[in-house]
Amino acid sequence: MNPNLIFSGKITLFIGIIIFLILGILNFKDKRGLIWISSGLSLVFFLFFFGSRAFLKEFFPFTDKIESFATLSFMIGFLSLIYRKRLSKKEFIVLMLLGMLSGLSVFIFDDHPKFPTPYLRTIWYPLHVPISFLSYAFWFLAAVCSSSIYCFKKDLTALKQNRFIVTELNRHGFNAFTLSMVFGGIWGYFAWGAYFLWDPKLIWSIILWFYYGNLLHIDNLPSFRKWREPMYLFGIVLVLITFIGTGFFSRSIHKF
Amino acid sequence: MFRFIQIIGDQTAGFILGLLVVFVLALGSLVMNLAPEVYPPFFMLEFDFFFNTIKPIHFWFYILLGIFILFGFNLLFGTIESLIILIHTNILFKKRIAGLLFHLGLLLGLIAHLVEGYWGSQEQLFIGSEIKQIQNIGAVSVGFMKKILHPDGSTKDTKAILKIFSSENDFIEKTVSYNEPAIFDFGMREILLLHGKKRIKHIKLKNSASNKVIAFEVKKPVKVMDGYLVLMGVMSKRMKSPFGLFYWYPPKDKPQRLFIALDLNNIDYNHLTIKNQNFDFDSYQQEDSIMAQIRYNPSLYIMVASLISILCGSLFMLRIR
Repeated sequence: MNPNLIFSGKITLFIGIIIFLILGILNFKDKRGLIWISSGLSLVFFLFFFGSRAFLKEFFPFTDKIESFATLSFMIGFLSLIYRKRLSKKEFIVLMLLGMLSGLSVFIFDDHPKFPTPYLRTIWYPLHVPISFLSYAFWFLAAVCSSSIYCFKKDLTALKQNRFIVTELNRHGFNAFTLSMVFGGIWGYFAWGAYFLWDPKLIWSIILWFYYGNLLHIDNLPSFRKWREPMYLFGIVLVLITFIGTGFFSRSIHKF
Repeated sequence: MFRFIQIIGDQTAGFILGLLVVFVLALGSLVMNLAPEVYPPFFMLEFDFFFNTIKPIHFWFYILLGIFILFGFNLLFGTIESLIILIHTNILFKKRIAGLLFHLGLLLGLIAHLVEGYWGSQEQLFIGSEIKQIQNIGAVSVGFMKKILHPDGSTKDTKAILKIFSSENDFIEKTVSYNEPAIFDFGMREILLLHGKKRIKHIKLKNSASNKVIAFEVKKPVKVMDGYLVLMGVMSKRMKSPFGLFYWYPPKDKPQRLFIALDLNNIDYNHLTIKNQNFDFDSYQQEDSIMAQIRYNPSLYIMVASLISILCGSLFMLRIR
């Protein structure tokens, strides 16, 4: 595969990621106009990266760990931008840094793009995987927002508002993940004859689904409410195990 | 009665059971990863695997099943409670409807898994040009197989045409490829393509002493002199010519491995010598074959109902402000 295109793709990705940091600073200084321009630029750079990979592999959306980390970075960054007005400046900059961190981790790995396996050539794949990444991003936002609750201890209105946002983010994340699992199940039925296999990635996806589904009920349970924020934070550990742990440390058929 | 339903369907109990499911599944994943000799890397939801031979290492599965049963009851009674409240209050809260549909879907999903795990089945087999009898589907053979490759030689797709015979001359054709199984009984039975390849049908060797040609099929022993000669398979990767692997079983000695080049031009290696007799390569024939997975899932329609219910729940959830 064309090494020049691989290199240029990664350079544009790098620039797209660095703009996240600029966005965090611009938001801190309330430069709204520049935020729009920078977001647009970042989007163009990300799209060039994804486009170049799709061109090389003759396949879209993404199949390897390089593209997966880039996608997570993209999802966290742009979801944070969508929620920017409802997030505090500190939350926004933390999320931008998380997006950057996810994106920069791409440069740790050796990059040898390969053509996708035939199983990925189905409509269910682009429906299943990007939506699950979107839900990871929602849960990252929920975790960052819930951690900042400790800053609003004396401000009851801010506290209430924050709880509302966290629940809403989890609801959207859970909904997206549900859709992703439904599509994944349909794909599994056509590809392997089963919507569920005893595969680490699938087991941890069920774990995530149950965990965050359970968390949706925590607002109705006064005896558990004090565990709410720690549980949202712990949820990220589960997301990371599902996303990274099963890919690196298990014998999953899902390489990424 | 309503009080009883409230106690069993209690949300706190459901929350604790949900967390227990998370914990036991995580434990199970860890156990499976640490014991690869017990758990194959690609296996489906079949209870037989855990119950045919009860092993202490499967403890997590037995606990999980118990928790799921309790959770199922909790869901059932929670759903009934929601339904009763919905009917009595006569107010259609989006949140309550979303929850009701979601829980109903989850309950159906659990039942589907129980049915699939208990009554579902799967088997893997090679299907070639020779007719294979598959239970509840019929006699099946491969009529044609085609591989589509990427520029680097890796497989892009494989398509095979299956012939499904209703009698000796009557058959229908179904195409299978990756992600496109042949479907029977409205989806409850499937023939799935795992991979397709050219498989050796037979190799013909000529006895140079008698000029007699003998055909060898894979793993079918043929009497040669006082012993048996068996074709084990063909190796073709990273070699100039494909090689046939034979086992020679002398009457009172250990079996010997013998290789023969399946190429008339490879004169150094295209013959076998057994007891000073030469067997020269004559010809070989390949056939299109596929490795197929035969799947039976009786819970498909319960699962479809579950998915519809969950998707409807999702739609209502999207509308919650």
